[in-house]
Amino acid sequence: MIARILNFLGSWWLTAALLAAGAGLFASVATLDGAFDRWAHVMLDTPAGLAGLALFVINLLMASVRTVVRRSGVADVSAESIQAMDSWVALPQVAVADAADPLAAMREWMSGLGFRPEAAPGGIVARKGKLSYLPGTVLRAGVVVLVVALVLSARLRQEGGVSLVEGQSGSALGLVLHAASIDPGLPAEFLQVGDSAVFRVRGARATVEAGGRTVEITPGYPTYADGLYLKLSHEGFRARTTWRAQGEERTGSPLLDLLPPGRSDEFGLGGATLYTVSLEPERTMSKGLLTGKLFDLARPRLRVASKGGAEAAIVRAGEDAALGGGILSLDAVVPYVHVLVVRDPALPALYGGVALTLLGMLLMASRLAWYERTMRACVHGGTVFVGYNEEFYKKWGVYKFRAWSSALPGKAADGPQAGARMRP
Amino acid sequence: MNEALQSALREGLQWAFLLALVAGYVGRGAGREEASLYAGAALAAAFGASLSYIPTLAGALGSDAAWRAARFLREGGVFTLGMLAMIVPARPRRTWLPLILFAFGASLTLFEARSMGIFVHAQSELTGDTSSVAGAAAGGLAVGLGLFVFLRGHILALPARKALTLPSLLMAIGAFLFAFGGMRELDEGNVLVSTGTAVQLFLEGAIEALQVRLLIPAHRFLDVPWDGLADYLSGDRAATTVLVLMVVTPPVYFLIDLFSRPDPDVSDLGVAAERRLRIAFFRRELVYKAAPVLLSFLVIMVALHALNATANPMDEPAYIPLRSSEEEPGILRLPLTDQMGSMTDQRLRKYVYYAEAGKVMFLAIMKPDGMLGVALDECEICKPAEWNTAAWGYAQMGRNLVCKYCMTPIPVGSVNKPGGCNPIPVPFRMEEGGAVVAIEDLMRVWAETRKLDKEGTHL
Repeated sequence: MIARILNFLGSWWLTAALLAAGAGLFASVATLDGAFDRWAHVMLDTPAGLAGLALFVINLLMASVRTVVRRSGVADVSAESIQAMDSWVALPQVAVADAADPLAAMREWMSGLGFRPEAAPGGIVARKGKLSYLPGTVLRAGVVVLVVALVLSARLRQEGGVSLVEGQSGSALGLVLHAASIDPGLPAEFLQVGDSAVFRVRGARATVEAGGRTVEITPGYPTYADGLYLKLSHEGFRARTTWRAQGEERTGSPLLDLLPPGRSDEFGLGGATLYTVSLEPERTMSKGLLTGKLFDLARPRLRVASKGGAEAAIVRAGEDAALGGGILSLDAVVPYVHVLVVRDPALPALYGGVALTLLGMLLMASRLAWYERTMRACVHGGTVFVGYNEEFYKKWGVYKFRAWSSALPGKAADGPQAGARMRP
Repeated sequence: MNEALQSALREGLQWAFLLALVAGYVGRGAGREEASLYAGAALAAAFGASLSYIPTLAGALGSDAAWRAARFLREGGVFTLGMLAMIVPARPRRTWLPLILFAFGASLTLFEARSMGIFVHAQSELTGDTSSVAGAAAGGLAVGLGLFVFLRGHILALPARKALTLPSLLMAIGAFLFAFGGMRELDEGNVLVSTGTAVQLFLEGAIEALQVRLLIPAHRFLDVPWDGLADYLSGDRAATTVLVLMVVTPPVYFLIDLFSRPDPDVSDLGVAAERRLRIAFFRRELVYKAAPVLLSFLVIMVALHALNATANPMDEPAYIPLRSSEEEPGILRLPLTDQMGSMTDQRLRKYVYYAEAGKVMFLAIMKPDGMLGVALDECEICKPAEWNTAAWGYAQMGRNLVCKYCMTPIPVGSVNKPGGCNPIPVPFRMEEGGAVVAIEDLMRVWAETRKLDKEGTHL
């Protein structure tokens, strides 16, 4: 009974049923907004979803255990088991050379075919590709690690962030960060011809002091520091701005999301007035059909307009311009970076799971040529039984064995029984 | 009345084909089973067709969306059962066969009968002539099914079991339903289209979620690792690949399983001609059994191609005339929200500006990255003849713009990039509420385009 349960838990039917259940669940929400988020919520946050995932993990583990045990063990060899193989022959013992020890003759024959026969209870077994179950096992292990890591990450992850300019300090998730240096990776000049999406920033980095260590963070893989993961998740400009008119003064240092060039943002200065701002090109050049805009990203010019108003001013850091009945001064424009701070003990396992899964998928390609081939022989009631199995390409395995076995002593004209299992 | 006749005739012929397949497989001498099949089909057809005339009952049995989902389940389920029948040979008890065939027959006709009932009812109300419309529909069904009744004897006499196995029968019916399920007149959707959309939604969400979990989410302009690969895997090509694999794998598996059977061992036959005969007979049997699945494969290929056209119909909006205002004489404003809705729907908008020099047609579209693209409704290369107005400009097909002259797909994301088959970019700037195009810029680009020596193509 327990064996049946364990067999069921490791069966491919259960795997298929669980995958079908997951797919059916997604199909039921596919027409709703945020379909994937809803599905992920059910899978990762509800008892039923977690139970399903747990069953899935158990299923994959049991399948691997079942496969490893089956493939590693030494099976009993008997006439019945040989007759259940893909193809087999039965030879009169007396016809075999060295009739007193026919298995020795079979051993020699198998060795001549490139197999390495070993003694087994009841007869001999020769196997090639014994370890060919490894790619599947690696793949299943990768999926298990990934699923468990996803569940843990969903429950344990904490996120925070802080935007910093060079020399500024801030904190997130209890970690104090000081931006020692910032290299936004922006080109000094950017010529935008046509599409703004050609703007890609490579090489952005910041040196941050965190938890007594100095680390470099980039938009790439996260950096580990003091139990937390840090990452440069965004950048833009901070503009220290003052507006003065008739004794009134408003200042602010808004963070402006102006990249890629062409994008606009809004900010307010201590009151109801809102301004729309965008990067202003140094020059606009037109040649034939093409229009190019040259932006100075080292000392950018900003186009500032009163929200809803027609008036606009173009200023650079250190310049003033009339706007909204007053004078707008742009004191400084410096790059800022947004540092994402994450606490997630499962992150290494996530990466491990992804890597293992990808490795397993790559290794699975080897299964086209790497698969198990088994030959068995035993003596029973004056008859030598020899059988052959291939895990894949069974048809050609049958043909191969027919060709090999035709040379067997005793496979004569009034010949032995032989068989090949064919699907109805 | 003609529409009712045509659609009923078509559905009748489809039912006749499906019933012929199943009856042929059931074979002669299985009178009870055959009768159960016809009874199930007839009762379900009658029930389904009458539903639209009993609104209370129809409402209680679910919405149109629920019925559509159930139909998709039927189509996918029949196809999947074929695959399962290959792996686990089904041997139902003989006493269950009539019930199984009754249910199967019912499932073949119920959904389309309901749709036909709705269609006929609507046609009757439209024309005000219920008896003629209903009569035409009944007549069409009678002709379609009558063909089966007329040929039944011959169909049952055919050695269908030489070609049909249970897996291949179910797969053939499933493939047929993929292609012809539902009623075209009611635009009831196709299970492959819906599955493809669901696969894409899943892949997009899964890839994005994985990127976020690994702390390498995609960014507007910062280069992050594996961004290109993630973009590809969450695109429609990857989704289509997965869908194709899902529907093509069962018939391919069947054919591999079939042709993987080794020739029989004929070493016991002394005469070479007899050996050859036995092997030839065996192989011929395999070919007969492969035929239905090969046909299913063909039907699936046709359905997948049709899916692509259905999922991405060519959409060309009408030109919206634009002119400058007295307050702002030198600019044209393209509002983000107009009579077509919000530009965030990523649908193509076309505009026309009547200048003294001529009509200037241009387009605007919100790109996947949230930026706007504004360009002339022409490219640097194509030069349709003056009379061939239908070939001028671009239409939208899914996530691409398509040049109507050379049918080159242009990813929407590349609008604003100059050159080649891309629409010629027009300078613009973003302001609150939409885009602003300086008329001077528009006319300059348009005038430069007129000067181009377009070679055109041979079309």
